[in-house]
Amino acid sequence: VAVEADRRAVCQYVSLFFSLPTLNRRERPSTEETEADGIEKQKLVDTLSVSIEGILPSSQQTQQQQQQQQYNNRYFCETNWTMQQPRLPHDVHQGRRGLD
Amino acid sequence: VDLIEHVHLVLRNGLKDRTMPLDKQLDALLSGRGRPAAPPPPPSYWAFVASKTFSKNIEYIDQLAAINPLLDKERAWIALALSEGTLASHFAEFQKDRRAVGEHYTSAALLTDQQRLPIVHDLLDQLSGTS
Repeated sequence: VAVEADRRAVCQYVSLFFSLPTLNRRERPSTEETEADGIEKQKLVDTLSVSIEGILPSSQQTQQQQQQQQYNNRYFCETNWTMQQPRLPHDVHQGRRGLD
Repeated sequence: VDLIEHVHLVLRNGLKDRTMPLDKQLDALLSGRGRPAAPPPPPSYWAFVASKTFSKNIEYIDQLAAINPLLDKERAWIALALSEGTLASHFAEFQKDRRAVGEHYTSAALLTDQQRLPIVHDLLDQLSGTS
């Protein structure tokens, strides 16, 4: 048990030793914002922006594809509707005149 | 997954360190008053976001984290908010409730940055209709 406690103590000393360079940063008053803080925050915002932009185009593309499909469907219906409709009297009259 | 990680980093930025300062830990060890202990856990925003989450969702997040060991409560909270499309509204709440934010974050944090936080909110707001 004693050996284990010593081992853990040594590990803790070593861990603290390597953490010493960060002491100044930790003790810095929380009210102070350094240039490094600003750069780090801007980097986070930029990264988040890129991440979201990477998601949005796919959804927008899907929406665009849906709109295109709706347009195609409407065009198809309108085209066939025109073809299947009986001729208007004016057209029939013109047709007869043409035959005459 | 990348998005969850990036939001996670945003929420971790500037968290107040509630562990004993290292110099005091060292003093305690050198004077023999301290006992070797496990390293303190990293700062977490779970308590902060949990205070603004319905208990029903907290239970769900607990279950998610229990099932998936790779998904901690913090990331599970983000995943749930993204799937429900409520992440932007949470950030809008963070903008309003400065007192609660100030309890958990330093003034140098992104969540207390009155210039950048609205930008983050606007970015996340774009996701509201796509979830």
